[in-house]
Amino acid sequence: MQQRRENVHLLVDDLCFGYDNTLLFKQLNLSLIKGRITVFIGPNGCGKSTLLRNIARLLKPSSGEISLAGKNIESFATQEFAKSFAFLAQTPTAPDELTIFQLVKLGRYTHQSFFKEWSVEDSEQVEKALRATDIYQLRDRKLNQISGGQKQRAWVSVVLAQDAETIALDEPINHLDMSYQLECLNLIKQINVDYGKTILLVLHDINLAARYADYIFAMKDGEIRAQGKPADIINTQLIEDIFSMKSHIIEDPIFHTPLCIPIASLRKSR
Amino acid sequence: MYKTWRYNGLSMLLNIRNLWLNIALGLFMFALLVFSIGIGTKYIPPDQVLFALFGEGKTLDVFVVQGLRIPRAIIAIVSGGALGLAGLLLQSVTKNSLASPSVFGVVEGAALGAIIFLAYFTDNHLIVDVPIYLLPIATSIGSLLALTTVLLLARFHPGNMLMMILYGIAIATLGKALTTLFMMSNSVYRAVEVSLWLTGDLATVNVDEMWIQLTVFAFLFCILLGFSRILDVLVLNDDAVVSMGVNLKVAQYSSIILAALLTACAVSFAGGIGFVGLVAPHLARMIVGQSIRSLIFATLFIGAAIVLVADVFARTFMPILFNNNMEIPTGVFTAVIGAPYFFYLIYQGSKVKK
Amino acid sequence: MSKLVFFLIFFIILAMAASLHFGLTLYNPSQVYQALFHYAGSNADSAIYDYRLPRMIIAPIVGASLAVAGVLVQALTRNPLASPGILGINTGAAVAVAVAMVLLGISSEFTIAAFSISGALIACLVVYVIGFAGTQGQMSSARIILVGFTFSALLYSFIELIMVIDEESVSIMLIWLSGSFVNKSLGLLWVALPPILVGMSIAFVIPRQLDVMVIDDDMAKSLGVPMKSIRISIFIAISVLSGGAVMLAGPVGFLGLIVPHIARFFVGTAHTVLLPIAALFGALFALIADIACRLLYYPTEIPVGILIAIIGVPFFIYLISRNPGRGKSDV
Repeated sequence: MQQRRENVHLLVDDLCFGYDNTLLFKQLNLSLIKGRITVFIGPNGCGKSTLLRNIARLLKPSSGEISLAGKNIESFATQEFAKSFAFLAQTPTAPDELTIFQLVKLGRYTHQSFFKEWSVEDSEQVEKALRATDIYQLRDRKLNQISGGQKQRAWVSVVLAQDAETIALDEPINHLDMSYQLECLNLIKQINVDYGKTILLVLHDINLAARYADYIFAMKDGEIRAQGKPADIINTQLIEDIFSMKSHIIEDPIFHTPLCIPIASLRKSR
Repeated sequence: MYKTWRYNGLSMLLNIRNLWLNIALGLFMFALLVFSIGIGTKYIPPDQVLFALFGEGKTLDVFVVQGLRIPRAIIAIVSGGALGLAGLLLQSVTKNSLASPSVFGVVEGAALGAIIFLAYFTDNHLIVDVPIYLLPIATSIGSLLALTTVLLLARFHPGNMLMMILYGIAIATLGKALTTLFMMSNSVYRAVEVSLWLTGDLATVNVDEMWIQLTVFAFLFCILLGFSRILDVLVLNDDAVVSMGVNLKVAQYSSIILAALLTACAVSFAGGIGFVGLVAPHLARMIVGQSIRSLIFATLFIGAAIVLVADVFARTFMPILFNNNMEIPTGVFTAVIGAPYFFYLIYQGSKVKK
Repeated sequence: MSKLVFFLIFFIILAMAASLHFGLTLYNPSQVYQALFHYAGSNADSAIYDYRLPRMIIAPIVGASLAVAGVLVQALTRNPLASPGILGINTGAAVAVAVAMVLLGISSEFTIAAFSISGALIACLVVYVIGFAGTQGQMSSARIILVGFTFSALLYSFIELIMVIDEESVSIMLIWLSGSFVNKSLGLLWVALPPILVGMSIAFVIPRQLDVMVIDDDMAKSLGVPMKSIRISIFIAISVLSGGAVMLAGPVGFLGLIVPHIARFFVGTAHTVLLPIAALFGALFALIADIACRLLYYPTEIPVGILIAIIGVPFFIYLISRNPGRGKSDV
């Protein structure tokens, strides 16, 4: 499915990358459009996190090109890149004694300088980020005084404060209770709708992916096996291919997105 | 809690509570300074000290205060501050609260540099025959070399800052052995002096040294302040640091090098006063929390106060207890306080793990 | 195994002979023979009999005791990075000796031995308690190194204090502290030898218990090993061995770290074989190091402890890289 060139926001062109001597991606290509929530799904080790880390410049591709808004990401200066691309990696850590405000303030790093460390824009953006994630009242609490869900919202707030056009989150709902998972994804959806941010997500749960994604990339073994709108691509065949699992797909009675009911693993036992 | 200050394009965010705490710490340090200047073989009351600072009062007092006691007190303050800040930098960059200049081989490296310098430029009359202001250069080279070795070794374990500390200790041990080797191959008289100096000793400082150290320190402190923004971000995990738009490698290397230079600046004049770099940042963190700029000033004041107090003890312990004129190396006192604190930290760390 | 023992003993005898010949002046075999058996008081006789002979006897004894103490410490902490030197046990003994000799002015060899051994014992207990506080019976490498380093730094500051109090002692102390076999009287040896022999015998009685102990506490208990009494005997053995060695030669570091690894490389981990082989390697190592430190910096002699430290640190670094810590949680 080819998108029109001028709408392409992020383009991955012939990306090759590998750990040690084994290539994980062999000439991987993808492109995605501005303003959408794009979700990467796939089994463990399929390379979805690695792909995101390549895009976020945390890993350096061995060959190929990634461009953001028509500009090669390698050509950005470090601070410039952070202004247009915010990345929340898996299980971020910060000292317990930090307050939420101090943490979220760090998101403004790339916009500040020694003599301009707290401009009007800085304080507005931080306040906006704190309010969007509904932790404005808690801003002076220390990180060891808040719940896991609140902590995750604080981190989302950090990438929001960074005020980048594109936000990527690597498994943001891992290790969260189910209600916190929903809370976090609703927040991301809201950010996408309210501020028009382009969002890249790596998710484990295919049903949540189907519910929140505008567009899905299904990956396996470093390749993209399918892409498209959730309703278009999620079927028993794809689930079997990607997750080696027998399943039944029905329409979610409430959200009307595909709902996958796992039946049995098709993985050969050792 | 926060107050914003803006003027034209400039802006600043002040943590009012921390500002007051830092002012209090600064005043406390200044009071300590005045008292410590007064204490000695000739006791001078604090008001007289203040007069003598400005050249007023009795001529003898002015001479004692300005010529003898101020250099020593200022070097104590600057060395304590520099070591504390070096510890703060290393603890930030390794994200390990056990890091300090002494476990990075930096102190021993600096000491080795100093020993080699002293050994080669001392003539038969035991007088150093090159200008003394070259000493910080020798110590800086020594500490940077030690640090470079540690960094090169640590490259085999990317991202594992604990390994860096362990290698640091190994290099420190090597530095100590080489220092002893150089001490042995020179005359015993100097060996005595040097061995005292290694434990940290402020007995032999003078006005020239004070000015040299102050200049070097002021320079490094400005760099540190300019650098503080990055330090603030460095407390996060590596991925997050990069995502914020910080060049992680550059940030890590430059903070480690800055720490080495600060250590060298202290060690050149005061010797290897241990444990200040470990304890001062911890106490500062307890008082002002995590915000880096408040931490920098608090660490400076606390590190200075620790060495100042330790030096007063060093000067007065033997005269009071045994009624003789002996001086104990300042480092002995910081070790006696610092080592138990270190064990406490380790114990706390293993309790958290469970 | 028997071949290895034979070779080791052969080399030890060779090194002992060499130890009498090499040095500031090179003596030929007939001079050595004459000095040993027809002592006539000539310069050569005196140098060989009064100066080199004690070294030749003391070096292998110190080497063997530190090596065995090293094996024991590594078993006790279940960690290949531990040694009496790294944990500060040697330094503890050194502080005690310095207190006895310098502060209290004691010259009786018995009392000094008592001080040295109790110093080692106290240091051993303190570092053990601190090292294991809050852990489940295994010290990580990082913990051992950090605790040992800090503990040694603290003890060294006491030594500095003692040197300040008695300035005349400084030059002697400096040489003694860096570890050396020079100018040792055999009188000291007769006092140090019995405790060393006691330590060796303790170690050689419990090798099978040590084998079980290195695995884990529960396992050892369920196999019927009386952990408490074994641990107490190990403490005593380590203290008398390193206390005795320090009293003779000063705190020679790294020997107790390196030699157990060399021995393990040749004969594996079973303590029945490991202990005697480590003792032999320790003796040989100390003898060779003692000869090397006479010749390397000729005509000046380097203290043997410094030489071993300079060799030891790269080895130490190698060991660290082989046993990497896993991060903050590892301490």
